[in-house]
Amino acid sequence: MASDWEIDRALQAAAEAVVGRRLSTTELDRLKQSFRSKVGGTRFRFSRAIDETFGISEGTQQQKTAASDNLDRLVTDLVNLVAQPPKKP
Amino acid sequence: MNIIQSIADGESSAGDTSPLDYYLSHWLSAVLLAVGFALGWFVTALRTRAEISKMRAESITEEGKTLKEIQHHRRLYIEATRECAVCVNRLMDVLRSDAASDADVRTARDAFCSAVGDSAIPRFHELVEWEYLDKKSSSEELKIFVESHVAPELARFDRWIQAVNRDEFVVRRNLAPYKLSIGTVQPFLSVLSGLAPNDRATFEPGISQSIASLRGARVGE
Repeated sequence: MASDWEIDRALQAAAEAVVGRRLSTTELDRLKQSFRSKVGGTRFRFSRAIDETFGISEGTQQQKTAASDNLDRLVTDLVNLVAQPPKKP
Repeated sequence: MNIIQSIADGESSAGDTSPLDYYLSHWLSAVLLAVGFALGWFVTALRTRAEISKMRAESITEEGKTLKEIQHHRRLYIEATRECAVCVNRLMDVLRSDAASDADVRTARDAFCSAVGDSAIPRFHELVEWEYLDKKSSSEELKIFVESHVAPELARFDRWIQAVNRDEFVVRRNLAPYKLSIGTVQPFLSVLSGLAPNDRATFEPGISQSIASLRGARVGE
């Protein structure tokens, strides 16, 4: 049906823009299936379908948390270092 | 005279036209009118469906752009945080070095402060703005985002700034306390506007405290 085709085309174009490459037929089918199985607003369903199909958001979220955790640990080391009494000459 | 009787009697009520023809022509008009209405309704329904599909397609395109921006700003924030980590390592190397002067410590500390205040925090704010755009339609999702990302990260920024404002730097080495401008930290409060009132009341004190602290309060003050 023409209207479904329009949505499918938008799904593919938007997903390819987010992923940064062309999608395979299998990926596209999984994306469409995931999108249609969700309940809620169109934007919400699309973002969930992207997450479920590609896991991109989760991946960069983990990298972000890891980078922030690492810096936090280094700052704790810095605090411990400066808290040490000064060396005697 | 009733209509059925007049049809049965073959009486004419309109010139030469028989009553049967007369009533059939009216029935035909009514049927054609009904078909016309049905067709009109069907065409309108199809058009409405096409409009809804078009709006959904546009929503998907918009969400695609937002997700792309979120990914982009998340990567920028990751890079900024890694840059901060390099600066902290350099500062610790300087502090461990016996040959390091106060000027060396100042330079290394300034580099870390600049990486946090001019790069990491603004990058995080840009990310928060895009995430807010994505989540503002669902106050529950926005609440989870504020609870699990915004509030903890602001508390971390506060710890990082407090670390370089310790007495060991400010008093012992006579370095000025590092303070963030109101423009750098105040915009984080705007994310609370999309929350339900009771959720806003829950998160506002903690976030406001982090912001006040980032603007210059020192450990123990």
